[in-house]
Amino acid sequence: SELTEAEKRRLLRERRQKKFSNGGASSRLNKITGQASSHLNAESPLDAPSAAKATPPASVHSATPDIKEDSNVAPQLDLLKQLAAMQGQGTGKSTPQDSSTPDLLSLLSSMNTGMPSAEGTPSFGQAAPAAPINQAALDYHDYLLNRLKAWTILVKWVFFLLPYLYLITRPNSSVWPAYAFTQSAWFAPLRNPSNFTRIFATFEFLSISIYYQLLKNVEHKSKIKNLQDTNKLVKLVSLVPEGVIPVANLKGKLITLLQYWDLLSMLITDISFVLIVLGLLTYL
Amino acid sequence: MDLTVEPNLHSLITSTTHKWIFVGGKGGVGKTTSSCSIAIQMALSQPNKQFLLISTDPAHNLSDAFGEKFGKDARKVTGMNNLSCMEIDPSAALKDMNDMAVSRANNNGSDGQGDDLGSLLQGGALADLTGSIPGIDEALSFMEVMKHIKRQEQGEGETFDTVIFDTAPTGHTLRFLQLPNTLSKLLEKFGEITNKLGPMLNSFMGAGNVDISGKLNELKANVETIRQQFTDPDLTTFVCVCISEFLSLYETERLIQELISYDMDVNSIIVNQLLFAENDQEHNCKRCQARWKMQKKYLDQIDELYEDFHVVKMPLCAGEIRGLNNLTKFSQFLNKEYNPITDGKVIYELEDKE
Repeated sequence: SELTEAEKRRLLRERRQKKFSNGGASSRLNKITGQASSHLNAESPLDAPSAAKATPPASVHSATPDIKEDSNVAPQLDLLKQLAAMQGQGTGKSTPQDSSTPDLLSLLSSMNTGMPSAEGTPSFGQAAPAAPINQAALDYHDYLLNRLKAWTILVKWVFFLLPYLYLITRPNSSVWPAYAFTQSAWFAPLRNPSNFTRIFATFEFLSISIYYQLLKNVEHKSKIKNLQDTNKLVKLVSLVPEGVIPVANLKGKLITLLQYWDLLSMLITDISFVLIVLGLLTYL
Repeated sequence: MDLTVEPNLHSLITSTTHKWIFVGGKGGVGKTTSSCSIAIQMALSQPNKQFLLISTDPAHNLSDAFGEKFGKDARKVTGMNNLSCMEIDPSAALKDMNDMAVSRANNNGSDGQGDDLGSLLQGGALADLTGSIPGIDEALSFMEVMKHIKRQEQGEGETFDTVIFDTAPTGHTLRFLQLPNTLSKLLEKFGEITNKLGPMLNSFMGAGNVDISGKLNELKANVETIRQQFTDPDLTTFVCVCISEFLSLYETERLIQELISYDMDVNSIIVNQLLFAENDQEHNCKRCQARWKMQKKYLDQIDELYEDFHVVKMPLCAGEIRGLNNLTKFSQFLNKEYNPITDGKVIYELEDKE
């Protein structure tokens, strides 16, 4: 049968489109570059995943605009949404409402962390952001940390401080002869109350060092930096982008300070324990 | 069922439906010559219709191609009643805008602020500022298209049945063709905001206010019309121009694929500057033979890749194809394919200068 010009044009158009579909576009480019031994890019805009972005007109007629389609039109909005999504990931509280405009703090937080690009590479010139820490991992880390603290206190107080304080306050107690080593000559300095400060300081130094080492082991095991990832003050400081406060590496300095405070607080707790025990033993 | 494709542009030249014809390709392949040729052939074959050839290339060539000066307003080609040309000059258009702003500022000078603004703009600050915006050429070309559509709708001034675009090298053209899509989406987004803030914005504009929402809706409707027309194959088509060399072929293929991804119709390829050396008895030098051999290699590839396209093979002429006469002589091979045996003499017949 005779084809009209319009029908012929339509059929030819369909035939052309067919040749460019289903990977045909890239293979055509491959053919061109291959025969000329060229190194030019042979990835087709039709076959690339981004081809979906080149919205065919038929699909743009929708009355309700699709946010995903508008990625190149409203980059700011898209950025906000991405940041909001990241906030949801970080806190593990991603809800449908989270896709709305995020609050200022989370924006600052996301800006500071850096936003991964479409390819998953970090943006804003930062190193690759750490994988989001989930709540279960944080809970496990807390459990390990609390267990370490409990055991440290138990061992220190029950197995050293309490017997030692009892020894110096009750050196002639009937308990001691049962333990032969307490009667030996090398044990004598321990029995001398004037050595208390030196012995207590040495003990605290050793115990805190061991505790710190064990703490690092726990962090290594759970892959969570104790202060960096869990401390609220550090989290707050990390919300402030670099340069806003005129102190270089504020977060790092704060972490160091908090580490010292953590160890100092152990010493203070021990001193408090010693004072309470000494007071009790004085009255007993 | 006969689905063979003629190796010429006869169907396009005689088409009565096409309103927009884009001619584009890599730099230096003969886009201007080809667009002028298409325009001339269409104007000759359809004398009752009006045709407009617009250059959207910032480095305009239309004036040089026809040998007469064209400006930002459409002007008829000397010797043709139904073909007009115009070169959109971004700097001139921006200067107009600047001058308008200056006169407005000076009119408001009585309040003391206008003088400062006027003196600032007097040096062409607005033109300098906006002239440096990337894509301003494409935006201005697009504005011309919109003006043209508006004129047609309102029946004002001179109207044209078909507009042929002599486009800039590939990158510019693609940006230009993306504009309707981008603008459409942008306006949709902007519309959402102005719908909410419209009354407030309008109140800010003062007593003699402008209906921002109304203006935006009007602009959006215009952009949408253009977008629909650009993607209708009966109204719009793209003619790719290339030469028979690797880089040109590669860029043409990429251009075609980009156009398909915009859902634009592309069915014609003009291959320019072919030597047809074996049929040239007078000038059959070793260099021509070697170059023709290379051209044939890529021609074979073009024939294979574009069997469903109108592939028009145009000869390399001895002289420059400038002036209406030369262009008319050359353009005939778009309507009826060049035969190196019978038409060979034409390539030496071009006048040196008009």
